[in-house]
Amino acid sequence: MKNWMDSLKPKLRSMQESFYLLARNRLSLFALILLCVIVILALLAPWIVPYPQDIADEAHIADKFLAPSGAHWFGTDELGRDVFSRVVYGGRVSLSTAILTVGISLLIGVPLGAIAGTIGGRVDNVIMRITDIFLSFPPLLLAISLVAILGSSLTNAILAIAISWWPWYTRLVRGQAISIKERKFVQAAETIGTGKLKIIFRHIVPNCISPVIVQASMDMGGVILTVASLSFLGLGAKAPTPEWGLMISTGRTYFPDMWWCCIFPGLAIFITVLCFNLLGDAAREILDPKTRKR
Amino acid sequence: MKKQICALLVAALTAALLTGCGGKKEEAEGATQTPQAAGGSSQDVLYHSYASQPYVTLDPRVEYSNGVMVLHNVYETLTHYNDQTGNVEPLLATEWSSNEEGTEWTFKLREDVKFHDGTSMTAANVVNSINKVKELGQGAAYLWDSVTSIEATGDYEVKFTCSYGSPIDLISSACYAGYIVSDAALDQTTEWFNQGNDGGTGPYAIAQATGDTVVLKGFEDYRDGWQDNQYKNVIIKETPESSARRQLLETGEAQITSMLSSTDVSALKSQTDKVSTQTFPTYTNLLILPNHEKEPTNNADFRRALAYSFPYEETIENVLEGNGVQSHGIVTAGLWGHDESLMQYTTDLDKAQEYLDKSGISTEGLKLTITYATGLDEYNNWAQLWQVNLKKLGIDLELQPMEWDSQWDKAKATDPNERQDLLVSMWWPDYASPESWFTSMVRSEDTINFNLGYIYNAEYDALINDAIQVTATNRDQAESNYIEVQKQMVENSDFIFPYDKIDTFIISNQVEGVYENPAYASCINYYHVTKK
Amino acid sequence: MGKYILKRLLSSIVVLLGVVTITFVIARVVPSDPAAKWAGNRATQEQLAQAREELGLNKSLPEQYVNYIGQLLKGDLGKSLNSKQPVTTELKQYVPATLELVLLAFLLAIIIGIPLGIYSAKKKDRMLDHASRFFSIGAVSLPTFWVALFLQLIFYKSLNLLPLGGDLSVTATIFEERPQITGMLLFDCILTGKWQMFGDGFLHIILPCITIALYPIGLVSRMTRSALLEILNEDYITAGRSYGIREFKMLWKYALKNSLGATATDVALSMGYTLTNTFLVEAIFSWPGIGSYISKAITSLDYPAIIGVTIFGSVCYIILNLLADIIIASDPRVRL
Repeated sequence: MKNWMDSLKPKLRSMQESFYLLARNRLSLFALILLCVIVILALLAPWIVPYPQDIADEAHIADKFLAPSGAHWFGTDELGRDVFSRVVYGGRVSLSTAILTVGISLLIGVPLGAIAGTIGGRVDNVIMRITDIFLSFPPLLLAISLVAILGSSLTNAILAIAISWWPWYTRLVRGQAISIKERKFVQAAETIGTGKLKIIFRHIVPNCISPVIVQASMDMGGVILTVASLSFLGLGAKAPTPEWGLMISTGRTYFPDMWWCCIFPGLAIFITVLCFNLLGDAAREILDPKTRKR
Repeated sequence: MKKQICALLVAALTAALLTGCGGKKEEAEGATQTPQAAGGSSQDVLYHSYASQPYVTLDPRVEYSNGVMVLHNVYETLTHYNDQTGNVEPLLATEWSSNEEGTEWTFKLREDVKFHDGTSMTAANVVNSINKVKELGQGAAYLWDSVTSIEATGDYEVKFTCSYGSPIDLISSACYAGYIVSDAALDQTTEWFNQGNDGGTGPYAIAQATGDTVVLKGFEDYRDGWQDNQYKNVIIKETPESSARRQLLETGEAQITSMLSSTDVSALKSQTDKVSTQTFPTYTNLLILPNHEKEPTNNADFRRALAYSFPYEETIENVLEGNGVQSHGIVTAGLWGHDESLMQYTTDLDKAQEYLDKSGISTEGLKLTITYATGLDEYNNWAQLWQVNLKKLGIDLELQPMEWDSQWDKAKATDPNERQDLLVSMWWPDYASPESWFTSMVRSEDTINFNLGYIYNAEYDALINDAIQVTATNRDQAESNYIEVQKQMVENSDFIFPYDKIDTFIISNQVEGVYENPAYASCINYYHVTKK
Repeated sequence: MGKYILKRLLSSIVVLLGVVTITFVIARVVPSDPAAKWAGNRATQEQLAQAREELGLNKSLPEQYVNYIGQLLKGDLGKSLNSKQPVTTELKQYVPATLELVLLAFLLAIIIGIPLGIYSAKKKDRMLDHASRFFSIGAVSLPTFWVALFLQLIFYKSLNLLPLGGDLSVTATIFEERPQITGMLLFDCILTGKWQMFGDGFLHIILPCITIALYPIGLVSRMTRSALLEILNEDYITAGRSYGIREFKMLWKYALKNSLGATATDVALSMGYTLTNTFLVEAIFSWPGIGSYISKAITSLDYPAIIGVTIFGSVCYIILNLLADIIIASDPRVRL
């Protein structure tokens, strides 16, 4: 952990020196602040939204499809529920699903990558071939067919996306592990006869986790988008869950007359994913010496 | 005003492109055709914009789905059911008679009927068609189960012999399994039919079929001839999105559509200069089947509590916006066997609570699962409203929209505990008789097929079986049997009866004569549709 | 070089076998009974049993697997439960429309993306550069299905300028014969000289094409930009600059040509992503391609169709990956 941070520091410093990176940073900084706001809103959603009972407990069908107004900032939906409350609460759903999905992918991908990289040989070969197989499904398509066939629910969607996502982490960690295992402290541990598994989980995994975390947080945007796409296809969240993709999918029936049912959840997806991607892009530039100014 | 500006804009653009292209005027015209401008030539085409695929197969011998909306215009049956009078009327047959037991039926046929391939229809065609359906045994072939033999007793006369009394005149009017097909076509495979071929006698022949689109062309030699104001070209095309179908009507591209979302219907209702709205009652109703083999839905008081918590009025008023009417029992209005005096439950949470207490069932951690067809927002909407009501009683309703096969599979699970608590089913009879509601969903079954509420009631079985036996000879007796079963079912809340469906059609002002006969669900007789 | 390609080819085949096995496993754990769908909604017990036999579901799993592989080798993806047509036949019918859409989107991406990339590399850190960065990241962050709805709202509903969906207007479908050469409508119209139909088809392709092109436009411009920046910093360019070679000529002759390989690779790889996007977009625009086909299959749980599209998509993806690797390998600067 420390090693990696140390190696990052000079890069960070040089970045700060350059005006171009600073200008770039302003946008990234804005994205960071916005993202913090989104996270805080999501965390506090049940307590701060104007109509918390509209999330799942109540319906006021007589008030359906009210246009945006002072009382309902984003209008009301087909059951008369406040769209603003549901969009804000939707952040909670989307963020937690994304974290869960990435988490499960990490749980599968990281150990496999570490094992492949450290042990090498035939084990490495087998693991990487399996990884290749999973990576040769076009993104989303494996997830689509998995959920379509296993039955649609948010849990299945999370599992399906994780199943198609983990190979990326396996590749990343394997690369890291190969370079780390050449380091002195690993070799030292090996010479005093530490077991392979212990080396993998004591020395290799902790030392390659930082870039993995960076990558994982960069992937959050993509995962949110994927979950929303699945829900839009009717393969994810179920009513009355205020999931953004599902809200667009439901609202589509009433589009374009009741445009607010579609437009606001879509904007919420866009802004959240954009923030993640802007930050990811900034992180990539900082970490990748190639794109840095010479 | 806004529309005018749009039109001006389009006109200006067209003009600009036309002058710009100079010599290539003709091509440019095509290139700048807007959906509105296309109206001129679509005058001669009747475009029916349909919500789902217009057919599964185009094989009249086996089709048991949407395809009848096409086949009904291409093929004809011996008889026709008039929903206004409740009588069976002549179609390919001119008259018929039966013996007293209803086991022998003789039909006299029209002599001027021509198949699309030019051959004339005789009694042999009727015999061959129905025998073929029975031989293939697919789709609704069971309708002919009572028929032991069918023979030609003259060039234009056929005789049906049945093992028990059955209403062959009514059965012949069904839009499934009773189409008369030319001999040449009878030898073909289903694939041949799906490629857009047919062997019918109806006013239209299939010109093209590509899964989501069917093109029909008028049959020149149709016995009733053609008037100038009839449509000789009909296109039925799938457009799943309600808003898209609505827009096709608004631009004048399509002339007929249905199954729109309530918002789209109300938006179109105001555009009286372009379209009109027509509603047709149907024989289709929504039924909720509680699981009679499982706690707590096997308890009649609990089921009554469920019935009292269902949001009937909100569903009909706000979700369906009038596209439904609360049911009286299992048989829909307009069909014999329907009784307006049957009791209706109302939404009354106090009464629901009362029955819940009476049932002695604890709501602690009580969770009910309801399975219903995916993709219909009205289901989602009323299910969520019901969920809200049940939550007030302390019952957690878990919504499980699923594909019909999955729903059906779950319902047929060998372990009763894996089955759902509540199942939503949409049902309509295959021909103008209430029989199939009772035989499929109420009568005891040896292996579970459609009795998905798992009702095993000897008294119901006896009444139903008796009704079937006497339908052909004593319809009044049959009717009173069916009403008696319904009375008890309502009393015990064996099913929950939310609503009978009403179909709303949006019809362009360019045309008239669109009518949906409830006995022929989703079929429009295009021959009767005329230009204004 | 030849040896490398052979090795890559072999590993692709192994991967393909893996893909097929996974899809087989997915298809067999299907919780609902495919026979029920095959036999129809109101099937009797006998009809169900018959359907099970027709679909080969009464055999043991290993037997089914061997049959499955055997059928695949013959190019047989099974029959759709909905239409009962062979999935291969249906794919043949639907693929050209998708291909046309994707190719046109990529053409658009190259026409817009490369100049945008060059320009923003030249004007590095100016407004346009930032705007193009924002655009390209924004394009990846937008839910495509939402963009599609939005474009329909503006260009059909409000402006009434472009058609709502489909690939031809209804009247044209009825009264005119569709040219059937490649199955790609616009291309066939050009080949047969049906200009009026071409115009009609062109109007229909605009919105779906723009929706799908957004992502590759962003990608291509970013790739061009970063490849250019990297090369512009190379010594020979700096040298060229000091010799006073004209900026534009230099950009083209030395920088752009060299960066094309990298851009092409990424474009090839992003086609996979774009393919998935078309699945979400086609249904909204009723575009008669495999996207509409799979959405319909999903809603009706037509698993042979879903699996068929998955295998087809994976094969495309594997081939594109292979091509990308070969492009990289044939770059003389890369040594393997």
